[in-house]
Amino acid sequence: MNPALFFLYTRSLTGALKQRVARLKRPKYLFGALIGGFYFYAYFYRFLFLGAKGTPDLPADAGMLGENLAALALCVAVLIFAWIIPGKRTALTFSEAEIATLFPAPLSRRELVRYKLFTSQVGILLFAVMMTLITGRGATGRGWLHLGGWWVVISIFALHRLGASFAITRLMERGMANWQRRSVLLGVVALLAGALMAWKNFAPAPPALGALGSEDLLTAYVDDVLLSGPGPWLLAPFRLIVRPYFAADGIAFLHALWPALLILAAHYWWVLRADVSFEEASIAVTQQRAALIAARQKGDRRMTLAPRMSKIPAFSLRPVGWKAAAFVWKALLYSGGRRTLRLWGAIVAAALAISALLTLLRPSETLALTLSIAGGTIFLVTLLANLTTGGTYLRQDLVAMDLLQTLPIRGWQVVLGQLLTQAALGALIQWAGLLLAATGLLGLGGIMDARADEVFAAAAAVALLALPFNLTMMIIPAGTLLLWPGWFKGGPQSAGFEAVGLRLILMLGQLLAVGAALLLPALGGGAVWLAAQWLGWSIGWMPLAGAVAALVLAGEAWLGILALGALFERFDVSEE
Amino acid sequence: MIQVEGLSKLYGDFRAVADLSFAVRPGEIMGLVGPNGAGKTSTLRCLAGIIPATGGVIRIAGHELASAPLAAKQELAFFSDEPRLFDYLTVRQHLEFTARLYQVADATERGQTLLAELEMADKADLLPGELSRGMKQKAALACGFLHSPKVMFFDEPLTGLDPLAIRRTKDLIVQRARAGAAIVISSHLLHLLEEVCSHVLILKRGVKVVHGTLDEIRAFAGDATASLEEVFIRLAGSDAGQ
Repeated sequence: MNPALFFLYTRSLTGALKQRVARLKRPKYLFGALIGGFYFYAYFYRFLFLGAKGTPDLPADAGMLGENLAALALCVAVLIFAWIIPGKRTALTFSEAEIATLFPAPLSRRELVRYKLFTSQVGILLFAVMMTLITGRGATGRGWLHLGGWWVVISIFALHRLGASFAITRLMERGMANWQRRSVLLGVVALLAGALMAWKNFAPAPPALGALGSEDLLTAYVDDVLLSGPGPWLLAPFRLIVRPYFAADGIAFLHALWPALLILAAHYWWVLRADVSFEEASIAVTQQRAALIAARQKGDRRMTLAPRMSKIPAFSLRPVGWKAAAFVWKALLYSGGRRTLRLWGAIVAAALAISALLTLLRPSETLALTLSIAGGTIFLVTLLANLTTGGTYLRQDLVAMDLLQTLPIRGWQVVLGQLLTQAALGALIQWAGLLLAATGLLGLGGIMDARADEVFAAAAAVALLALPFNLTMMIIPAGTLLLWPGWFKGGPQSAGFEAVGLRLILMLGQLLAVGAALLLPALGGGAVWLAAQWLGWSIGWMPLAGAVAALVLAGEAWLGILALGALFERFDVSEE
Repeated sequence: MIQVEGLSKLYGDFRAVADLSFAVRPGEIMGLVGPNGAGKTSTLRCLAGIIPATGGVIRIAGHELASAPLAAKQELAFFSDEPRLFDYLTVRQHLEFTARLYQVADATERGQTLLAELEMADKADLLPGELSRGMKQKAALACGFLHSPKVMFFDEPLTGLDPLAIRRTKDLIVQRARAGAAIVISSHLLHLLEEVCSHVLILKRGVKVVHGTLDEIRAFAGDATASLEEVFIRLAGSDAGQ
């Protein structure tokens, strides 16, 4: 590789590593890194690379079946992702800085391609590690062989895609349209399928339907199909590529490696030999990527390259009044403004209409059961979504933190305005879900004997809890956002052991916090229940218990918001 | 209007600003200049309440920033080098949002006047994504001017603007100063600062080198006819241009 490009690459890599290490000087990231590192060691590395006691290795014939199936999967993937789907001109992805400095520099196209191939190795290696971790849990002690196997497969696949894209670009330059190429390819695929159909008469008979449960019979049949007729010829090169992954030991790995490396070298020669113009398409792709990254760093995960449309606010914001209302107004606008409110209103109205119809018409119990399951699922999914989306509205303001901190408003007001909006929108959907679930339960007369007043009293109790519960669940993700904004912004700062460790801490923290937060409300609701038992109250105790628990939960959420407000005010933009 | 006594800002062991004291009175425009890394942005951010100062006292229109941040912030406006606008709010919606935060009762009329003054009345219903950089800058100025701040901080306000926009922005800044605002501008465009600033403060490695009127700093540099650029190079020494 060109020495200047090698210098650029190695220095960039060491610079990035130094930056990552320097970040560990801050205790919060160091703690995250320790937890993340321990997690990887305990959960993956120890099992994969050192071998774990008591975990049996895979049987040898399972490896054969795996090799055949993997070769087939690779063949299909190459056909689809390298030859059929691509419809654009070749676009090697460069960073904006690389385009600005390397494109005008006296470097040949081949040097640039070689540079990109070299730099892509880090990504390929990381991907190979990830795939080894994901797929290697059953095969202990052979982690390094699996890693090498994955590296071979991914490297060849990446090179093949690049080579194919060069070839497709050349075909396009010669006037071949995408549809023509796809037609030719699909014609070839159809021809091969025809050949397989013709061979079918000579193929081994498939096992009887009843024998499908037998793993041995199924394995033997798949092996027979893939190893007889045209199968072995079609899959031969792909089998060579995947074989190192399935090697049982180091010697077998080395035996399997050299044919795969020959294929890799052939691909490398093929790619470098192509002299296809990629600069223009690369610039376009890089600009799109830059826009998307910028949007991600602003916290906008919904960004598309299509232009944004202005929205009508959900309500008119008077210039004087409670300041936090400005953030409710802004958050509603972010979520779609008046249109979103109408949609939410329509969902609640639809839930009401469905409930009314179901109560009046009393259709089948199956429908009632479906409705109660659907309603319950909507409720639970919306509730749990708070754990991951708790900081969504705050996140999109991260980029303007310096502006927000010049505003004459308390931090808790900013946080309350944003979280309350998200919690309230979630609660609306949860109420619709609860209504459907409750109505569905009433229609299950034959399955459970539920009285309408009991069901609706319980639903009312849960409905009262929904809003404060949503708010409480958002406190931890929002707090994490303010404490560790770096790994919410996307890009290299959101990766690494420390980010994994921080996410683990977050998950654990969320579970503990939610559990702890529910203790006091449960005690409050329990006290009402005890009083109801003592005094012989009717079912009215349920909404009352819900209201008491909701009040306690709201109090806790309030304390959390005050704490978040303090974090917001202390947020130091210069540190991130 | 702006009073700074013994301001310091530390990042870990690194001292970005050290024992900085100065005052900017109503109607004055102070240019904050210095080589890259001199501590200009840190100073501005501390003054605007964006980041906490490590030491010292900052008073904005009589309110101490540390103990009465809301009262101080009510009187100031900060304009960053890159206009900070929310992607999903139109220019008009930005003004409505800002009005509520600063409790500007007559925001509608003021907003219309400002948009007309900034020649962007026809852009009121556009999103930031539909505006040029100059227009975004104007939208940020409209939001900042809406509550008639007594104190304004500009961080590189003229970077990336076309000559016409530079002229208009300069005029607007001067107009606000004439109306009684105390203004601090941080910029590397020394010849432009020379045109608008009544005072200049030169920072070097976080330490004040000199502060005074243009004539005073020329005298300090020992050349009564020197341009601000010449004075700067002489006083900022080997750090200039880094």
